[in-house]
Amino acid sequence: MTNFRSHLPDVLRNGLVASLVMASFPLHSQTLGVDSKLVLRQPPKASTRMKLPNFLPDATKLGDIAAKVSDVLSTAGYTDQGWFVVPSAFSQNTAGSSQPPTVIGFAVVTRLEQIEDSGKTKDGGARWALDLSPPNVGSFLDAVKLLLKGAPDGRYRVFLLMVSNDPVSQAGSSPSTDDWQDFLRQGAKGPLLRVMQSTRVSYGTGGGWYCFVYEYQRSAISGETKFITSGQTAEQHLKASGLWNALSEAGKK
Amino acid sequence: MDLLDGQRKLLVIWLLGTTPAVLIVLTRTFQNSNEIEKVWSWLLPSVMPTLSLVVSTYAATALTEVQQPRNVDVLFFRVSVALSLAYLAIITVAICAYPFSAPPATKILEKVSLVLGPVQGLVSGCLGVFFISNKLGIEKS
Repeated sequence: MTNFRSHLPDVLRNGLVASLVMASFPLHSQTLGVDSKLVLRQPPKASTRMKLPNFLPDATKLGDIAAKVSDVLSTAGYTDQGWFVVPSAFSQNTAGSSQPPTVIGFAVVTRLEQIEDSGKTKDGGARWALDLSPPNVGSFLDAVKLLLKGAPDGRYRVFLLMVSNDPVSQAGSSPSTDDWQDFLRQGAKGPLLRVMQSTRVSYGTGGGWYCFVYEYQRSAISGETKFITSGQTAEQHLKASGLWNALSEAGKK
Repeated sequence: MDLLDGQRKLLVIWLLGTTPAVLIVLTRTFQNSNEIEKVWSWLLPSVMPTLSLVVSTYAATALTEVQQPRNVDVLFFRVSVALSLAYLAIITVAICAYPFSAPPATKILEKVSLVLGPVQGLVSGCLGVFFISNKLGIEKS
């Protein structure tokens, strides 16, 4: 045993210790993956998701990326944001613990918004109204179409953008629309720059930018809302909302 | 006026009166069928019992030779027609109007049912005189 220990390289020994730690502290798979305030381990199961290109390749600190993303979201109308830190997979459960987690990324969630069938956000007050709004009847032909087809179902969406040095996996279940309201309130209103500024950007295999889109449909007949698998890709959602262009422009500045 | 003549007119009113609502809901079923069964479950119990009574009784009349012509008060016939038209108009307007309003359709149709209930009672009473009493007359003969 002594010979084994003396010949084992330091890196390998540390990896063995890390594995033992992981085995005794399994990754959380709660519905919202939040085990304490402002910490998000796993995003919930999404309607669609994608790994985004690195919009800010010149950024070296997580805080710089977070600040830019916050500005982009605010400019696109997403002023109501919920910010969370993403801890390292090797961090213990921070609930009730006095030790802060090792931060390897951040996540930001937007407010639930109403969208058109094309993925574009609804104009004016209808964007943030969660109740079904009366359909817009511009002409006699619109009225006839509405009479024969019935009112369209309401569509709603939440964006969750995540930047992490390590790979990201989803939880097994999806939240309801009410859960998103609570989740948004739990998060910080702005990026936690004091924490994120000390973290260097170092995307390992699978690390990088991620976008999770949560889409919901509200029946025009019964008013019930259900989580749906999106008929559009995450990229289409980002382009329709204007976020894709805004993030691309932010990288060019 | 002649009872049989009154029955014919009421039959035509009910057949023509239910057609627009049924056709509109049928069209919507093929266009956007998400939860449309909730609308059907409101519409069908509102029209089918009375329509079935009217059609089946008149069909029986059509196959039977009536021995004696029977008369009915014209005022009563006009009241029956007016109530039938009002009832069918409420149903048709509710079906046409719910897509244009904000609340879910089921909530609007529930509120319409509050008005429909009393009218349905009056309509049933009037049509009962025209059709059920005549049915009993046919059975006795």
